Amino acid sequence: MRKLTFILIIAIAGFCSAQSPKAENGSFALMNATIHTVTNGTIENSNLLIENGKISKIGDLGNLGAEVEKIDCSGLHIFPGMIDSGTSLGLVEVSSVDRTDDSREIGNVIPHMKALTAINPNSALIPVTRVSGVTSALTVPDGGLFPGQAALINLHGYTPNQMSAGFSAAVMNFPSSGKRGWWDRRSDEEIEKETKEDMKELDDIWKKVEQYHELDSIKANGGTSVDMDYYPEMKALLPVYRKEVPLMIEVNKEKDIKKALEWVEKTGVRAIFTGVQEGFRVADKIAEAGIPVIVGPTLSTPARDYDRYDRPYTNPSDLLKAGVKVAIRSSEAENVRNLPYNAGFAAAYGMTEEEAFKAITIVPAELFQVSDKLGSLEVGKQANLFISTGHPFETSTDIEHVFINGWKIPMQSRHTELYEEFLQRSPGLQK
Amino acid sequence: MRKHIIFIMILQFVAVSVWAQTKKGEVLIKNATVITITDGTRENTDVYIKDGKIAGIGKDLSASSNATVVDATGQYVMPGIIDAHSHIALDAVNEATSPVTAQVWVGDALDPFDVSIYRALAGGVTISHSMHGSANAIGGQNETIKHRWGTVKMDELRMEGAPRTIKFALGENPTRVHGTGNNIVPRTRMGVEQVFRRAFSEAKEYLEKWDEYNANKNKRGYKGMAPEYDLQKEVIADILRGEIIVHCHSYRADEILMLMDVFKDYGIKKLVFQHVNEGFKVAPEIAEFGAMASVFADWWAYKFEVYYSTAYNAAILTKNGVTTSINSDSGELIRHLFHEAAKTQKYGDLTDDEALKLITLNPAKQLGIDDRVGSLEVGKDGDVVIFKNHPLSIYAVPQMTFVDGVKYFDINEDQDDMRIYVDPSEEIDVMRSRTEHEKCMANAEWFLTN
Amino acid sequence: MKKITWAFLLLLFITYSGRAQDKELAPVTGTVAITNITINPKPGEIIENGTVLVRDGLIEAVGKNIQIPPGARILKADSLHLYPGFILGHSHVGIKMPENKEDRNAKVEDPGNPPNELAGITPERKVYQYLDMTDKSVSEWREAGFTVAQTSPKGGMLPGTGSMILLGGNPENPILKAETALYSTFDGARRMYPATILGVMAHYRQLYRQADQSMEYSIAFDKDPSGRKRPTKNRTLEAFYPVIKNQVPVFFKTEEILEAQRAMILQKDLGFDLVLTELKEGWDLVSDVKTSNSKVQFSLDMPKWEEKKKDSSKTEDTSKEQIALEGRRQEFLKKYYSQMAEYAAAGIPFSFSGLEVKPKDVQKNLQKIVENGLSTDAALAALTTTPARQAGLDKSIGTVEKGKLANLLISNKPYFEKDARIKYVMIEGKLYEYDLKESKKPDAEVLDIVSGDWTFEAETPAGTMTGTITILKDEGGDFTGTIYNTITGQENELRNIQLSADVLSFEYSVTFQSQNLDIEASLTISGESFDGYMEIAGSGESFPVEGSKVPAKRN
Repeated sequence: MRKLTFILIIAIAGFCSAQSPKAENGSFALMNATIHTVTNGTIENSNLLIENGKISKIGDLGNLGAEVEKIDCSGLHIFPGMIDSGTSLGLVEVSSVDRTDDSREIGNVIPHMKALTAINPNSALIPVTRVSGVTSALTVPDGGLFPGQAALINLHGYTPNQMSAGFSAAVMNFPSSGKRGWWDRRSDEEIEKETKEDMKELDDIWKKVEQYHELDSIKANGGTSVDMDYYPEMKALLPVYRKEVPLMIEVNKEKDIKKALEWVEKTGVRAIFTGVQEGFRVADKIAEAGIPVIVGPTLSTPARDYDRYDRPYTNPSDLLKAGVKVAIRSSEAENVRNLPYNAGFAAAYGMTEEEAFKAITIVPAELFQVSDKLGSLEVGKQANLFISTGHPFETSTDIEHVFINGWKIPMQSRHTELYEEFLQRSPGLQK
Repeated sequence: MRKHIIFIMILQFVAVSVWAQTKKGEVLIKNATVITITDGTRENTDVYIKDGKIAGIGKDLSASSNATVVDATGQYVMPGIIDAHSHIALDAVNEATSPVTAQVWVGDALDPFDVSIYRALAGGVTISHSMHGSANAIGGQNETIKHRWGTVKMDELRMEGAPRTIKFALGENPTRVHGTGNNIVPRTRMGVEQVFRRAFSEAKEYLEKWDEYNANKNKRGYKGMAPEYDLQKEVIADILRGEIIVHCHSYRADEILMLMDVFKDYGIKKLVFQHVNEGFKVAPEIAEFGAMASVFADWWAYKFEVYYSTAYNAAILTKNGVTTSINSDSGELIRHLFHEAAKTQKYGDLTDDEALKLITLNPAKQLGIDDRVGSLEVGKDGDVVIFKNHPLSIYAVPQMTFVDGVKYFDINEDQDDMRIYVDPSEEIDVMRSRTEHEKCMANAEWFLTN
Repeated sequence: MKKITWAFLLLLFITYSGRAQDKELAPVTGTVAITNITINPKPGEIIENGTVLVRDGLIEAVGKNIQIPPGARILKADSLHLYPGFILGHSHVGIKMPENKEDRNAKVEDPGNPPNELAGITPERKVYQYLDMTDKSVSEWREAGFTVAQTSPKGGMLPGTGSMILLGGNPENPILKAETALYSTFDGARRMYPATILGVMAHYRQLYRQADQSMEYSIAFDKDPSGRKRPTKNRTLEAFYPVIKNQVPVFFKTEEILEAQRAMILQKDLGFDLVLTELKEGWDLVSDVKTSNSKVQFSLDMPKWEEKKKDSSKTEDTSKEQIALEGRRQEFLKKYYSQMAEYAAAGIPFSFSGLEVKPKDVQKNLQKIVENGLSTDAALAALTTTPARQAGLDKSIGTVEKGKLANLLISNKPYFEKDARIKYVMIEGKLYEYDLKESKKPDAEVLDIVSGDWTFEAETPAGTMTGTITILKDEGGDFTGTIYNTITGQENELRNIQLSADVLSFEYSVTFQSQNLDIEASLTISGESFDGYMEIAGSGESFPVEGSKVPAKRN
């Protein structure tokens, strides 16, 4: 049955035009579905109305005008669109081809670099991602100590501004005392030395931000004699220093997490820890500090040879049980579509299905201060959602429709297009 | 007294003369849902393994008093998963010094201490194909290993009697390492073809010289000199003789066709394409040649030659009649190949049996060991895995893994620290990297730094 | 000419080397009687109050009632203990390899087929070409009680052929047996074939089989050259001929268990006689060694034996996990020291090698091995009779018996007892005497001043190095400390800090140009300044250091 639907969609899409189909705007009534609201339980056999890009009704939709497109969702499920809270989507196209990688700028302290500036709305990776039900993603620059500002985007739009979901935050890679990879040949001493230098640099920077804040405050209060040079790095860090926005701190090793906790306590910044690979070793301390975390990828190898084989799978659950607010990320670009499986493994290894799904919907929405718009199916929220044959954690589930900001997204991507063309190639073997 | 080793060695280069005596177990798994792969799925069924081999599949089987009995009510039993492409359990992956290194053999570099072996077992994988990397057009010979975790002996990892295989590589990796890195052919896909043609032609000449020498050497008064022994040519000659299965790292459709053309010219038939991301474009040609394909479930776009890929690759190949498997090429993916196979239901709606074949019987065929493993049949090796839920579900969760009837993984009994050896001088809180992508190029980095 | 050079070098060495503790006794007569001594003539035997009579470098008599010939010099050795001079199974002692003039980063045209020399394939090198008896290592090993050593060239995969040499006696004639080992390692070449273990294994097979083939052909040619093509001369392949004929064994450096297995795989493939040398992880290989009939030399370079530290400073690392991990670490540390007892119990003879150990650590390590279950007799056998037999020299060395070379070791207490010190070493009749230097108590005034910060300046090969040394004394009276230097910018932990009289000594490791260097320092403190030297361990390179105390800050 679902196979048929699928082929039908492809056939129609193929028939309509040779061009890539466009998203459709309008009012859509999704009828007779199981609605997984995330925040208000699951409603069987109910309806959902999308108008003006928003969810305008859930339940009895009353009389629908002729302009409303009805979609029969009998036997199907509606979920809020999934949010990946750590990707390089739009910045990186082909990771091994340098010229297609805009995720790393030069400089150790460059918090004024904005990911949103360099996001390519036409990346082939974006349609591949959204047809799997991931509708928003935090796109994160990488590199040195302060590599720039991450941006939350919706995966539909022709300009970065159209895509922007209204959140950005400075990113910090906390000085790491771990090896960077199997290729990292630095000796323990060298690593220690570099970590020390980085910590010192961090302290220096923070002193400068403090001064900058003082000067800026005097100026704001009418101190005309204050002379402030163009200093974009400090300007970018100012809202972080003033706790107006969160700081996303990438930190993984137990020792480093402890140090980061001290640093956060000292500076009082509104921190979100990301990565947190060894969070399970210090879960209580993170909970005590009240710092939320974005963990992942769950599908990764344990960090130490003597770690239990399933540590990365159980890490989200260990943190949650200790009382930490947990979101899950994929850390991917081309395979952000595996976000539900990163959450699914957390569900298979300790979290409940609901908890794991929240970690890729409402929790990131809250962390990114957009829970009034995204992360659950509630009247008044933005219509970012998908319709599927089952729970998105299961690979046997097909995603039938995706809506972003109320736009009905074509269920097409490079992967489906190639499937369509080559499943039964024509010509076959003959010339 | 000196042995006449020349003659012995030609006969048995790879066959390490005496196979290590490995442990064999006896176990009775009761009352499970048994997925046989070749003979359907049976509810409430027992699987009995004796002396390391499957001795019975059926209802209410009984076993000798030596057998360990496992109650698997409500759980799923399937054949041990086979990974047709991995680089775990190896001390070295690439001898990246020359475009042709057929003489080297990863069986010399096995590392039974690699904890990745245990982690693979914890994902239900009992056999993996430990491969040379993809830096060279003709890389080294591979080794098919059984995951007998806990042994400190290299020889006990080897799957006794598995056919010889060798790694070939096309495209970006060999052209980058040798062409761009060292200014040596090949820098292009044109060059790669000629590397193969030269190697095969020279091996052929070598064989002919030996044939001539062997035909004459016992004649009275013959005073010729034997051709100089050349291990590399010996191995390539064995490929020509059909004694070695070629596993070729490949991505683009054109290079896949090229290799099949070259093989046709030299009469080589045993061919498995690895990765083969654009295999879907030439699936009918691959099927016609009789080659097989071992692919990623969904990897793409990490380099230019895989930018025009589709996750529907496995489905297209399967539906075009190509024997296809899903592999890991990674110490991470090998831990959940059951999940990787399950993705073919999202990308192409494969049936449960079709999907599970991709990680059992099909890779067994590609390694030439399907008479021994890959399905649950009486007489086959007792390599099985027990899952809590259906193996294609995200909630599958492997519970126990057996190799030759010996339990090597038990979710409820194993300790956290499963290292075999501990280095007393190592710092305790050493933290390793994050996910390792494409270890294929390990030991080749230094050629890529300029 | 050569003779003169030897003598000249020796002379130079004696006058130059201020640090050497050898005191040469001019031999008035070639006959020496060592009397009233406890003799351990061979493992398992003891003669109390015995006499050893040495004449012209040979042992003339051993026993209780020995007639001492008139004119013999008498060495009264009451309460001392005499052993056969120790034999070091394998080492690089006395070797000065030529500087490799090639730039290490030089690119070869075809990395797949580089010149043998660059690829580390030099089996034709004979160690005696590189022997320098004035090298410090010779006297250091002698001082540690070793009278004979097998020594091999340094290099890559096939560094060359080793010899058995005397570590003293007549410096003009140190070679006991010229070709005793084809030394092999699994070390790959840099950026060229064979670069990895994969290449080394394959290339070993290739070279060996080519050698076998070429040897066979030359035999046929020698028998009947008429009508045959002249064989190609190839020094690399010819170096294998004695190995193929089983006249010389292959000494494979196999520190790790997998290397040992790989050497045995090659042995099985190719059929040579195998010695696993510098073995460190042998505890799981007892049966393999037995079935493969290979010989074993355990490395004397052992992981540092750390008694379980009292947890004083570190309180946070006492989680259940940390305790379990520490337990496993201790368990494995013990294996390094207890494996020799297992081999002895299994009846597998073994000797020791010293390719990497510092001679002054040897006694301490041997005592730990004995503490971990090896009998003193078995330990003595591993140092004397077994290496003698392994080298086919058991008729001339290895025991204190009539007719053998007068290679002896005399200590103040039984050698394996704590605080035993070597007082004399005799090599081929030549006597070396050593100070029984008790570790002296630190001078009071030095003890007062040593704690704190010291600045230093050293003239290193890499230029002038300055920095700070910080010494702290903990409550238990032990020292801890760090050293910071300006060249690498690293701060390094000091180890093994000792204060003896006015001499402060310590060791540390520093990473320089991605290489890990172990440095040993010895500084003589006088007032608020010091001078002394630092030495790069194992290289023989040392450089002068001066420094002075940084006045303590007032609080």
